Amino acid sequence: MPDKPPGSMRTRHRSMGDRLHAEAYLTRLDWHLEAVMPGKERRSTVKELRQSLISDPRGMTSSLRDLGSPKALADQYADDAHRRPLWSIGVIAAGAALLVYWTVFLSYVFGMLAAVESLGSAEADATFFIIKVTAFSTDEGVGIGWTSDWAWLIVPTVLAAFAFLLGARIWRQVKPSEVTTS
Amino acid sequence: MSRIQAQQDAQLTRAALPLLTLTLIADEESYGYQLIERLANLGLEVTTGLMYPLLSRLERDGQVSTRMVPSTSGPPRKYFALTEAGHATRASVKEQWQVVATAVHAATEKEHAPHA
Repeated sequence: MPDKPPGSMRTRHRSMGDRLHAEAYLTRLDWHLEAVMPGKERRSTVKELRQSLISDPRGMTSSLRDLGSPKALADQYADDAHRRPLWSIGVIAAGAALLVYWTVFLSYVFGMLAAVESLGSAEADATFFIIKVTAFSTDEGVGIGWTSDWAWLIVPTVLAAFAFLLGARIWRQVKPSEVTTS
Repeated sequence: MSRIQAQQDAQLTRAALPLLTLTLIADEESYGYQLIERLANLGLEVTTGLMYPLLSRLERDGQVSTRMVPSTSGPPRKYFALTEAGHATRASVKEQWQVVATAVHAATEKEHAPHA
């Protein structure tokens, strides 16, 4: 069948901004589709949607608004399928949790160092969760340090693992057992 | 339009969409956005967020077959055609709709009938 080129079907030129906007949307959609379809089918769906967005005669903002939120669109594709864990979102959640943890931890440690310097004392020790932290300011140098045993590693590891499992909705790994009626 | 009314409209559209889509595809092989425009011409506004997942499901269930057709105005387009299974589903869903439509019609006609 020959392709019809009526005026309403004319493809708009997509700017770099439009393409970036679409890619950001499709990336988020890809994360949510992980819950409802296997990898190959997911990639194929995202590819088709990318082509549809490029072909859509409307502006990119209108096209994306029409699709709805990435999560809502993924739910439309689900069709009552059993939801799988969202591993990508789990990894992102773990990364975000680590980022927050290290920001808070380093703020705490540098705060200690500022206090040591302003008070003119040589050294200060404190505990951040279970991690022993030291800040010192002497004639030889200024520095911060924390205990080198497992404690400094266990807190962020537990935090990241918890965020990963929560972000990935790990409970979805357990398929609901079939209800049998006697 | 109230939120509840909008939800009811959306549910009604969602329920009718498979039959409408299968019927339009039976009439003429079409691609996704074209189906939306054809529905708009019939007076029904459907979003791409509703149409594309439906087409994906119909394809997965073997109700429609697809082929890529090169386009002069952009990337190739995926055209949908009805399979034998699709024709059978369309006939069966059409029957169900007729039962519902008859019941709705009878009830609403009764509503306007003068009381004895």
